[in-house]
Amino acid sequence: MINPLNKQRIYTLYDLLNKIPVAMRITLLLLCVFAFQLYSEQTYSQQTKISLNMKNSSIEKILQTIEERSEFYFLYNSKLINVDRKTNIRVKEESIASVLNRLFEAENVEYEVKGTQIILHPKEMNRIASELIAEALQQQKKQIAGKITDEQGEPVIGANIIEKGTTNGTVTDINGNFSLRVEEDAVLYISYIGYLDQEINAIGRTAIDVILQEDTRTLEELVVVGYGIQKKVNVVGSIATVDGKELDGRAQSSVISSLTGKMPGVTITQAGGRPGEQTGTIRVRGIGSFGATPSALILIDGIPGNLTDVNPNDIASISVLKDASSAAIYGARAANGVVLVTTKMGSEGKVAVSYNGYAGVNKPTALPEMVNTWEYAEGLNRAEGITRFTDAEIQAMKDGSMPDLFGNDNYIKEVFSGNGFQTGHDLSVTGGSERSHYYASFGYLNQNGIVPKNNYTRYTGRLNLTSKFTDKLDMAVRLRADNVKTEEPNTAGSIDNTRMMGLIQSSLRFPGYRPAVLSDGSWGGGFKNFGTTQAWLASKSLYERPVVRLNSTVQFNYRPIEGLVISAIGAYNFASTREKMFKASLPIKIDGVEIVLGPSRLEEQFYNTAYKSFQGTVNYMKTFLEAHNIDLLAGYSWEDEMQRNVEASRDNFPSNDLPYLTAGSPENQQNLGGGYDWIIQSFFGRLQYNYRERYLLESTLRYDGSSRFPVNERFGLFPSAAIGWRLSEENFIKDNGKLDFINNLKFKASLGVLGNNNIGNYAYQSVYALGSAYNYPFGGTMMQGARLTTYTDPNLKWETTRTTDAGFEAILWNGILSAEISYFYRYTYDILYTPNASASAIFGLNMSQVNTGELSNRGWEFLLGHQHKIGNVRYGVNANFSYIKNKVETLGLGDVELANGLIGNGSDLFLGYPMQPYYGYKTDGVFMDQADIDSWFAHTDQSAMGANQANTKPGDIRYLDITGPDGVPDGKVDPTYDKVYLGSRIPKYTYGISFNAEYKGFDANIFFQGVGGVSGLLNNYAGFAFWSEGNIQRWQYEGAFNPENPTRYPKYPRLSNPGNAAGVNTQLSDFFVRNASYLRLKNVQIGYTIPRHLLANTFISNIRIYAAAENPYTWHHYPPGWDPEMNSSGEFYPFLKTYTFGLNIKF
Amino acid sequence: MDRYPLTAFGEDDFFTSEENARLAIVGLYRGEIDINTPEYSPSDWWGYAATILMDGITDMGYDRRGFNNDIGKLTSGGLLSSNGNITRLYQRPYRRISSCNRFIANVDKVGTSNAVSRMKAEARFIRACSYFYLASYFHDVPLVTEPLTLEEANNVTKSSRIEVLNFVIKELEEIVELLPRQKDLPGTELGRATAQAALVFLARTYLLTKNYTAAAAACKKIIDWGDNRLHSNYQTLFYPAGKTSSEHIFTTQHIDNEAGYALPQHAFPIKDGGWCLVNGTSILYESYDFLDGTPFSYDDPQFDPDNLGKNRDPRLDYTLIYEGAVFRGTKYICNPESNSSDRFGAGQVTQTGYLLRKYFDESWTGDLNKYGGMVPIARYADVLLMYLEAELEAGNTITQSLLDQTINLVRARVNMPSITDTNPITLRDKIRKERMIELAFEGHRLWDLFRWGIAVERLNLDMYGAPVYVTDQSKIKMKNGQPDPYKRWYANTRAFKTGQEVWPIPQAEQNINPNLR
Repeated sequence: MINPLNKQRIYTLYDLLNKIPVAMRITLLLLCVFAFQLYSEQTYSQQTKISLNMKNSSIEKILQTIEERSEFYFLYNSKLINVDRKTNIRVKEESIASVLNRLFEAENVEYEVKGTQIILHPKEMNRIASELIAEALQQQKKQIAGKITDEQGEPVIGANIIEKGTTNGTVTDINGNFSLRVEEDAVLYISYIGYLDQEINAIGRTAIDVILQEDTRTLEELVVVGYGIQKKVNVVGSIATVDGKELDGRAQSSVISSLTGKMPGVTITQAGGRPGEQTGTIRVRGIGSFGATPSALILIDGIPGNLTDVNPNDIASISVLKDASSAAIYGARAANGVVLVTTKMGSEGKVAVSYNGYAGVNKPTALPEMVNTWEYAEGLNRAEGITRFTDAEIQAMKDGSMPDLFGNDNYIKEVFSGNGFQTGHDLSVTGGSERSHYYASFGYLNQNGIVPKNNYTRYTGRLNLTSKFTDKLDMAVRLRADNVKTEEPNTAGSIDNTRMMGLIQSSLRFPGYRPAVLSDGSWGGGFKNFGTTQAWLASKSLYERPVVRLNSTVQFNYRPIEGLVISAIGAYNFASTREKMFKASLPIKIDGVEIVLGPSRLEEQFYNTAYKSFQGTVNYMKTFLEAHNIDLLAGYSWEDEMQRNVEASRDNFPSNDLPYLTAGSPENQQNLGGGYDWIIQSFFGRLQYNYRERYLLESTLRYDGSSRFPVNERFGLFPSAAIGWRLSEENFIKDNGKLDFINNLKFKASLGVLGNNNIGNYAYQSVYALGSAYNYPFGGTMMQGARLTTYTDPNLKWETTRTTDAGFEAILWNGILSAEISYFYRYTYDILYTPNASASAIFGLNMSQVNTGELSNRGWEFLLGHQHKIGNVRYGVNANFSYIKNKVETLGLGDVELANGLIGNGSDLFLGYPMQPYYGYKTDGVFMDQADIDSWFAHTDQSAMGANQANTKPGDIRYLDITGPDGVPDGKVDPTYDKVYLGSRIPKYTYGISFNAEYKGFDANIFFQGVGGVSGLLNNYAGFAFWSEGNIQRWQYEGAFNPENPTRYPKYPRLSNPGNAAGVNTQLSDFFVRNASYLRLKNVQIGYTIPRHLLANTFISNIRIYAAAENPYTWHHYPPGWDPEMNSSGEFYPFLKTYTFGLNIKF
Repeated sequence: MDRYPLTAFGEDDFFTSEENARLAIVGLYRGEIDINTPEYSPSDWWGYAATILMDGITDMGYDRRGFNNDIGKLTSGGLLSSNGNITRLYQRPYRRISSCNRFIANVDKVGTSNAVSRMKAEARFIRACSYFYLASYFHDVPLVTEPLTLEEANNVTKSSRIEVLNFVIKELEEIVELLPRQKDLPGTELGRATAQAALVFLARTYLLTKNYTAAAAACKKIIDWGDNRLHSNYQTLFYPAGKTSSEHIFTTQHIDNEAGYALPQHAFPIKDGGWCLVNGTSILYESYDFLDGTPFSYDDPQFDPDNLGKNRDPRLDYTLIYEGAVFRGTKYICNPESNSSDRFGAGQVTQTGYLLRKYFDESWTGDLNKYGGMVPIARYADVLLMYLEAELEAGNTITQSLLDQTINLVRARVNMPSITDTNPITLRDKIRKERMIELAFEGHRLWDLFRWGIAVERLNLDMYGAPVYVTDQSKIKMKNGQPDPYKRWYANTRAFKTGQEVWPIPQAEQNINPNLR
């Protein structure tokens, strides 16, 4: 939620009054009118002298000038006081009273001076007030005073205090102070827009300090929409939002992780906890394409960006535009949702400094447990039925009696022995005068991986500046600079696996019986004489990627007449990335002889990306006849991105200490370079209309052109329309006292068409490509070659998604219950699919994208909220649930009818099924004994699975014969007829539920998140024992079929050595495709805010300490050692659980 | 708003100069041959996985990846139309053919010159060779000689094997006249097709059509030209430096680092950082005669259990390493009772005790994936043996002089006694054995077994490895638990079936185009 009203001047608040419902408007009005001047300190007003010389200036302008030249501060209602009136004034060294008398002498205006605060009101109002005072004074009254602040300790200016049951009230001054005469047993009712109302019993008290709690679900909640801000109740599209406050003051390295599970319809999947790589994929309402990349468009302050780059503390809000009507303003790239990130802007007031610091530690959520080497050896002997290891050797592994030959190294423990320490520090400063506001921040994050030498550091600096040149012209400047560095270990020597992920895979793969360190201290060869995890980690091998980014936007807003804003935005982003990978040579000792594995090799890559954009918009808002609200927007946008890169490598470095290109051998130097360009040019417009905020209408049009499409198909038109009906604004509800618990009730529906151009930059251009893939040597010299490899469609055009959306929203009992339900149906067609599987090899070319194929995503989203306060405990519960059904409708040109009757591409897309399927065999447990094998083979020959009847043993998997050439089981299991759909990696259900509570300075937040109806797979090194000379995990060792005690459905088939190709027990089958549903305790946070009175005499305004745990526990069905979000064949970086302590301080 | 790729030519602007045509011809030679990376599956018929490694699925070799692997399945009874290897070995040549067709159809746009007509002939050569391989293994395949649209390509029909082979013959007969002879090929163009290269493929094609007279004539032409000579040293012929020998008629070119291949990575023993993929079998080992020309026997006193290569045809030691052999300066030890990292065991260690030595210059050090060796596609010794075989199969009288001009030249190089047997029946076996030994791990064996019609007999022989002498017999892998009289390590036995000499059209292609079912 955005609350721009916080800390803003009260007359700007009044300017917003026409956007506030009538009932509330009246309250505000009354409260401001019944402002009393009581016991105020008059010294300043009497002593201050004012000089002015202004001709033909509006009253408003004159008052502003006075404010600028003095400490006076005016409060008035622009509805009641005509401040547009032009007048002349010329005074010299006069008191404020004198000046005001001159200004309003002929007007029906009175003023009251309370210190520096001056309240203007119409005379007759004051008369009523005076009568009331007189009335009040007749009774027994007491004086009560106090200060009203928000949760951050900032004074709340203009908050309303009213004695309950009366019209007696006041407003707070610029310091948040108030005083009021009330009945001895009065109850004070305190309200301020954007905050929860409070009632305070004043019995026996003369001083009351009140902290207002921000209202997270009021009718006034505003959301960021494309090119603007809208009241949430008036939004007819489907927008999921996350308030920046949920990201504020927390221990978090990545925005993505903290968004997981928070928003219905927004599915975030991550590949693990690799520091700096937690980009994850954000999928809005299913997966929208099997052609072009179905990524959401991420806009940071209107400019495309990437969520990992952003300092979470800088974020004011995140909106995810899910349906066509909200996203269509971004037309051509909006088909898969738009994520709008808005950063904080400064606000007027004294300088506010905020610090958030935390430190914590990362631990894997799960780590595979490998057996001891003697168990590996014994297991392998058993698996192969041959003495691979003698009893003496096995004994040596246990007791270390042959120290250079047999040991018990645990590589997984070695590779994940990093400390995982993480710390972050964020400092921000905001403030400003009436004319300029600033928000400046500096952030530092250092995250050590759980792998040694794996480290991620991020420095972020930001300056957001707004400046008002004149009443009609203002400017906003946003500058951001980041320096991000990722460091990872690398393998060394001659192993073919490189980088950290290869190192991890090798550590998972190889058994550790060959000692890493020999008795003379030299490195051992390990399992295959290319060294061990320990040696690689200790080597000088490295990977690093420093990135420097500079982002800038400048925006000018011109308001020539009321309601009209003309904006121009220019943006320039520059990123410079350097990637360096060095593989050191590695000395090892084999049979007493030292050899050096290598050669060492260095690869470096530099690339620069420059993005330029110009956007211009015209926005006109007007209310006609107090009923018809119109908001019109028209705009133009031009974006241009360019990347250039240079890459170079050398090998055979004389020393591992000099990993720089020049130091490498001159013999084998290589380099390459190139880059890309793209342009998008767009025109767009939007009409928003509502009748008394009761009937809502919105329509959007965008016309986009992309350099990625040929001239004739370059531009695409993307229209949308939406309607809404706020039942709660109908008189029959508003006027019905029995229904006054209904705060908002809205039905809405939208329809629109959106595009996607996430394909290569030149997908329509047919080329003879140059590059190392086409070169070939003649006579010992490399010759340059070229080849046409790819067929391109000269008539390529946008991929299109038609989205329909219908929903219902309710807020009842002031937020005690709120609910949203939406249904969506997204139909994507003209999919930019690469139908390789339907292009015969005879054609001879790879296919590039062509517009073919259709896909649907449909589903439901539910959001339930409950906010309440019982005694001193304020608490809330928010739950969201989505159901998404993804279905491949057709591949068009790519449709191939398979022999088993399925239609699809034969591997990962099948008509009528979701994307990302597992396509394999159905099984029925394992063979119990020889008789079982014989009787099974009598009707089902499964020798195509890898073992014929003679080779099959008890404990091998039994495969089901599904069908055959005649459409009925043919007595054998084979890949052509017997593979079936076994599940999909796309979750059908995603849900999240959060609880939060506050009690006397304590705050707590618990968040659960989960998915259901999803499948996962661990295979090869991650899932199969002894795979490709691999190791064996504890659960496989202990869960394997035991012929002594046979069971039909063991956790693992009989132990066997499968080599590295799919054999009888390693086929893709439902034996290994797992239920990947899980419920995760995603986040627990407990904080304590030190009572304000303890800080009364310090310059600190607020201190909060907190402790948080992220991902502390998960309920799932995966085998021990594996996180249920992991789909791996060996390369993996574990998901992390993080425990942190943090501190927020405000000055 | 137009933006163009920065490192590519637009197709329409490409055939505008001879320079560009030269770029394209280099691209045709390269095909999709993997460079500087292990060929886990065959990249092209001229890559080492489809040649050198292919002998690992014949009687003479054992591919360490076993029978579950798609390459092992080709001959072990598990051949299915979905097999990944046949899919690649079908699709890759067609992609090359398509590129050739496009080149042939467009190259005239750059003008006419000798250079252009030669390049066109080279494109036709590459295309003809691709069809030769397709017809060799898949028999009836679509014959496409012009660029096709997708629609057309998806609806082609098969031509009979003989039609395809006749096309190859017709093309090669013409090309021979258009390509330079080997003596005229400058050293800087080594690796480009010559008239002799075309003649070798012509001879091979005639062998498939059983037109032995024509096959002999093609070979005879090469012999008569006299451009080629047997290299003096069998071993160094296959070293990187051996590429320039005139014995090599056509090779896949590699150079260290820039365009290397990963055979060392795949074949080296573990002690040298390799993956032990290429294993010889007892069948190959036992085929090498004793030095005096007598057939090998474990019972012969010339056999030395402590030195398996002693007193044997020198090509044994040039081709294989075994227990105790010195390779790259150190001894190779695979005895399961040793503590060697190479000892028989699970995973990527030898499965027979015989690993590959051929191709490796042992003084070479460098990145195992970037070795600048070569893949011999056609060499003169092969021509001599084909000539003899064609003469014999043509029913011509075999004279001692013919033997001396062919097989005995090959044998003399390695100091093996001459063959004097002119009886066609007994000589046939000797020629076949000589081909296996001389051309071991050059990728001809499967082709030979298929065309000789002896695949079922030869491929289903029990494959043993080297004799292994241990005290604990439970460490020996035995067939059905039965100890081997010669203490040989048991590797495996295939279940190759009649009919599997013809590879099915890949399932993926059948799915697209029912005409190919």
